[in-house]
Amino acid sequence: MSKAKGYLGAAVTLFIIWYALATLLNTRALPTPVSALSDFFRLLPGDLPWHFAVSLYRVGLSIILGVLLALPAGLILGREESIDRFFAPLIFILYPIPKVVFLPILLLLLGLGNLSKIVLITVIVFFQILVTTRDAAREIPNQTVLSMKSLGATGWHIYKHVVYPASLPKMFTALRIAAGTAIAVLFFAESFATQDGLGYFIVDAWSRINYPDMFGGIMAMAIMGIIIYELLDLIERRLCPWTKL
Amino acid sequence: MSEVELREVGVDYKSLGRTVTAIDGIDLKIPDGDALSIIGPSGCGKSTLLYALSGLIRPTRGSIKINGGELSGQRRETALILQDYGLFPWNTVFDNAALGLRVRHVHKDEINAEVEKILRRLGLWDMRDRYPAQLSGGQRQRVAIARSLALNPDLLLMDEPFSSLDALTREELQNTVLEIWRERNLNGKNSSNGGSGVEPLTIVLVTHSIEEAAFLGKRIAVMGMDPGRVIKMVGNNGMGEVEYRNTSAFYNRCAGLRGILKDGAKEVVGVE
Ligand SMILES: Nc1ncnc2c1ncn2[C@@H]1O[C@H](COP(=O)(O)OP(=O)(O)OP(=O)(O)O)[C@@H](O)[C@H]1O
Ligand SMILES: [Mg+2]
Repeated sequence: MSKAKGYLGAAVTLFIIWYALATLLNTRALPTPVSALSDFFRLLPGDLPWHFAVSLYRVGLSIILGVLLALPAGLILGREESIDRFFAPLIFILYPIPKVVFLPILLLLLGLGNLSKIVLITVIVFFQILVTTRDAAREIPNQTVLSMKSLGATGWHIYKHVVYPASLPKMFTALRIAAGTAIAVLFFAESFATQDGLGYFIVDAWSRINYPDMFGGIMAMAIMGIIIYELLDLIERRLCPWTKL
Repeated sequence: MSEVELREVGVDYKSLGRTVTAIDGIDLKIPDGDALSIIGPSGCGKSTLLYALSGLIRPTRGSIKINGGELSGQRRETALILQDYGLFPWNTVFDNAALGLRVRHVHKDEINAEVEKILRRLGLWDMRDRYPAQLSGGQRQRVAIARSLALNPDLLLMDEPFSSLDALTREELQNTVLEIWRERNLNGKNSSNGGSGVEPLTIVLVTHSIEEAAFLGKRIAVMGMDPGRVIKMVGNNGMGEVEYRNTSAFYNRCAGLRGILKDGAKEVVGVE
């Protein structure tokens, strides 16, 4: 079964359940999928694409930044015990704290624009990727490293040929989970003191009791999720072909 | 050339604050072009000895000299084959075989030529784009051999390279190793392998298998435990032909080795 067919099947199933629920409840707060879809297309010529783009930019950039910072840091912590001994306690103190509690401080320090949101999501992605890649790098069997060393590899080569590829599949697993969290936090961050982004769009429509607009925004959010997951899948297949045999 | 001399070599491991003496007092001379098998009970320090020979670990005591020079770190001309972790699942057959040369910054054209030659020699050329997960165990160990041969070593160290293979595949690969060793060492005497100017290849093979030790070892070092040391050196001049496996001399050699291993075990029981 092709991927497109898979998505179509999932959408149909979802719409049937949704339709049944909407007719059963018969409330304005839950329109039928048919009217939500027509509202979604009605919104396309308007502001919705702009809010969509803003959100995708924020979450996309945050994911990229988070990975670029966390991947090398995690690999180094996982392999260099002397550095890890210093940083590990720090990470374990910070990791369980829900990072959204820093939103007020970030808004205060970095303003209400893109920066505060991007920093917040970057930090969240950073910690999830950091902890996973650190563990993945630690778990590489000593024999694997010895075998690389026996070929004459040192320092940088061991990272490039062993530590990085060995940890990459686990990094992608963590990244998928982190992407979900990132979108949820984005919604939260965009629902305060902002005039753009899907979070704003949905909460604004909600406050105006404009349920058709609200569901249009929710659909846009789902589409953003699909785009991010599909992109991650594509990149993973390019970078880790050996895991998909 | 590779002439190896170990003198009073000992290795201690520190684990959880305790010092474990893995091997001690190992005196061993490995002449150029030798085929040395090392056999002994599990935990007697065979891998440790091999790692020390490869320069991956530094002996705690004693000295290892190669061609008269004290071994410090790894030599370019030493190759090591490990049992299970040797190949990298993220590299294709070709990339696995090329890895050692890439790390050594050999020119790309030279790598391609060298790797192609060796993959063809080992019957792996058609599988060059496959990943290790797409190979049988025997093919994987063939790639491991290809990778170490690509380095053009004069000293080839193998740590139980075939122990996870079925009996027939194991024998097939043992034959391959024997052939490679013969090509590199008997070309003066054997006109059918007429490559001139080929340097001798010294092989040191660690194994659990008495048959493997007897088939691939011109000399066999039998090790004992606590501390790990060589308890007996056995000459095995009959080796060198694939048919050796089917001779009575081979059976007798294996029986002899079995006896020595049993006596070694008894000796340890007697001490304690
Ligand atoms: N990194 C290590 N730290 C502590 N002790 C070790 C370490 N590596 C090996 N040892 C110990 O040193 C001894 C020799 O180990 P080694 O791996 O060399 O044995 P071996 O003869 O290769 O065994 P096997 O046949 O099972 O592979 C064993 O007692 C082992 O527990
Ligand atoms: Mg061993």
